[in-house]
Amino acid sequence: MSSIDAAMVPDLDPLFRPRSVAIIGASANPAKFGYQVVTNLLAGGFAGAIYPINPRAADIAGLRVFPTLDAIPGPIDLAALVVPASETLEQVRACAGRGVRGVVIITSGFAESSPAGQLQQAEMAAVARAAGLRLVGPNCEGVVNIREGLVLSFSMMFHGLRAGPVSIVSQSGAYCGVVARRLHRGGVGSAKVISSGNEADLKAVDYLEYLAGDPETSVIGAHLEGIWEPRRFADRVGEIASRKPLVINKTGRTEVGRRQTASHTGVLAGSDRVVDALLRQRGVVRTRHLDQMVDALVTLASQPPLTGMRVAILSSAGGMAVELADLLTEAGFSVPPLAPVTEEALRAHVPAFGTVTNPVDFTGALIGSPAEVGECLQAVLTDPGIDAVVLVITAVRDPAFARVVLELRQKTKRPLLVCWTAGTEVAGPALEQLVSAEMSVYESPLRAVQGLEALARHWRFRLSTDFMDPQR
Amino acid sequence: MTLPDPVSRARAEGRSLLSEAEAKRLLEGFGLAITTEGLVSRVQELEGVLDSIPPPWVMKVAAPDLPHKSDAGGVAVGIETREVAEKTFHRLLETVSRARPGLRIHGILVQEHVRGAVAELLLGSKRDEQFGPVIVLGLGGLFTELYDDLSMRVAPVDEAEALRMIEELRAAPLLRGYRAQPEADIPALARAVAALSRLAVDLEREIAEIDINPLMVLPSGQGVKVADALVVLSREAEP
Repeated sequence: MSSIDAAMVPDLDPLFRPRSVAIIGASANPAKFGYQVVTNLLAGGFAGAIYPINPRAADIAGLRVFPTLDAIPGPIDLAALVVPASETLEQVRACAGRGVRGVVIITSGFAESSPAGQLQQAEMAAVARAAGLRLVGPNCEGVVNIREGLVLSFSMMFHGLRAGPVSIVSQSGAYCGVVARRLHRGGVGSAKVISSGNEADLKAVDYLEYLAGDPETSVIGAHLEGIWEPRRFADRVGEIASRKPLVINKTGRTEVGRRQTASHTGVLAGSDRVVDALLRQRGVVRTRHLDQMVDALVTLASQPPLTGMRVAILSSAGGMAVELADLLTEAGFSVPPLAPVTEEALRAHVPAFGTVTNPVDFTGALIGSPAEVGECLQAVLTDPGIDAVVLVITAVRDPAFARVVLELRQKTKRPLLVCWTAGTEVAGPALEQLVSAEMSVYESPLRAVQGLEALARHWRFRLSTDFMDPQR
Repeated sequence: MTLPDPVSRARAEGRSLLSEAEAKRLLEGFGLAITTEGLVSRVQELEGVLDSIPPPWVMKVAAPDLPHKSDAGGVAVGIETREVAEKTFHRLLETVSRARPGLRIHGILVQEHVRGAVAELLLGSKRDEQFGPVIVLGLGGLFTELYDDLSMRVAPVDEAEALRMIEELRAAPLLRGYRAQPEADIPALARAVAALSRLAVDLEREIAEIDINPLMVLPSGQGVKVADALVVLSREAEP
């Protein structure tokens, strides 16, 4: 496996930190993508120059409009194409001639729809390569860099996202917005979002390599339906995953799923077992569906390293604790007995009809006593035989519980996952306190287990023999 | 690189399958231990071959175009005496000729009957269209498909990675010494996996698939042994 050679990593700064952006095919009609791309840039607070290009309009969203690229006075770093497919090749040529460094082709109707489209896409890539400019797409939703206010997309999904550590690459445009929003809801911010589309020029692996070296990104998520340049991907992905937690949501496992894939991004999905094996051996956290991907990203971004498979459950309701114990055991975790000293500490608070053995049921009797629950939590967090704790809180609205949890999180080096099931309608202010402190809340035992599984996959690989594994 | 003899010979004859003996010779060249064996094309040669291998023996029809020999009645095991061996020689040839008239037969392969294996595994490689050679390890014999207990890696696979593959098998406890069973020679198994990976990578353009089934995994210190193997060449050498 070769390591990342700095000279080989594409310089994608013009895509993410442009000083100027041209929108070719900008429109004055608010119903058109060509209008939404302009207003999204304005709403995002992008500080660079914005040049809408349209030979007929004079004013778009209050900005001066230019008839052609050549009419723009200064240099242009980045351009977005929102023109019909038949005009994109000519526009890529114009960008090449004008010294533009990156072109985001939002337009659809290429490899995903016909062999002729495939050819046209290849031709655009060839023009770009010859000119030394890089293409995103075609058939994509655009690129986003939260800290720069760069929302170069027609999608409404990227506004008001908190800035944070997770960057996302997706061949499917829809995943970009959904994943970013779900991370936001979980208290985890985004850094960069790339809708890679058909990947005529830049491939998923190029973005992943760039993100591996991006100081603003500490966790990477990718949604892939197929893998272009598979040998290069296989060669590089291990190095990327060794630098930052990498979650890849790979779909198209089934014949029916693949049929959709072939017509969607035009990639022949590899045999899923082989892809699964490759990702496993390279230390990538592979997920199979949206929820699993989101839980993996949220947890990897918000929790400290997991050093073993022993989990303590602390629950206000016995039923939920039992489900959690089942799911954890099925996922390969253990729910081991606690140390005698821990049980003793718990006995001081847990009523006689509760349970002080793991899984601990402190019962509804303590839901009026956040401080006592805090002491119970403190006891299990310091148990030497425990690697992670899941706290289950059910019908509770008291924000004091949130404060207790946040305080203890500061003191512990172990993952502490909170599964608070009351929901925002009941426990809104308490949940908001946690989320605004970047403490994710899992709405069900399954979601918490999916998060822990991602931690285990990543840290088991990373820590190797330092990871306490009951199977070894 | 120059092609190993069994491959160039099969190519010269326009075959895409190697015979068992050829497959084993190829594997042996990459460091895998194979069963002691000898090919007998005429009954007069039988005695000499039997002399060189301690009984009991396994006898198999050697026919490069017959990959699944036992399905055609072309395998006999547990042969203890020369008399039985001679009768078996004729019987196997007759049975297979009747079942598959016109089949090209090289003779009868006589080999040691490996006993005392802790497990019979499948070790194979398959050239994946996207990622190149893929190495597969699983429970062998009839159980491969029945239990679907496989671990898989994209080549190259070194010994450390091979150990992780072994650990992933549901059958791993069997190899570590299940109940009264002896512990298997896991380091030798890992070396065998890495050896197959080298073969699959070096000959990527030539080889479509390899099935070592069974790979006899012997107790600690005694190694592993290829008891049967199938090699399928790619249709044309990839450019």
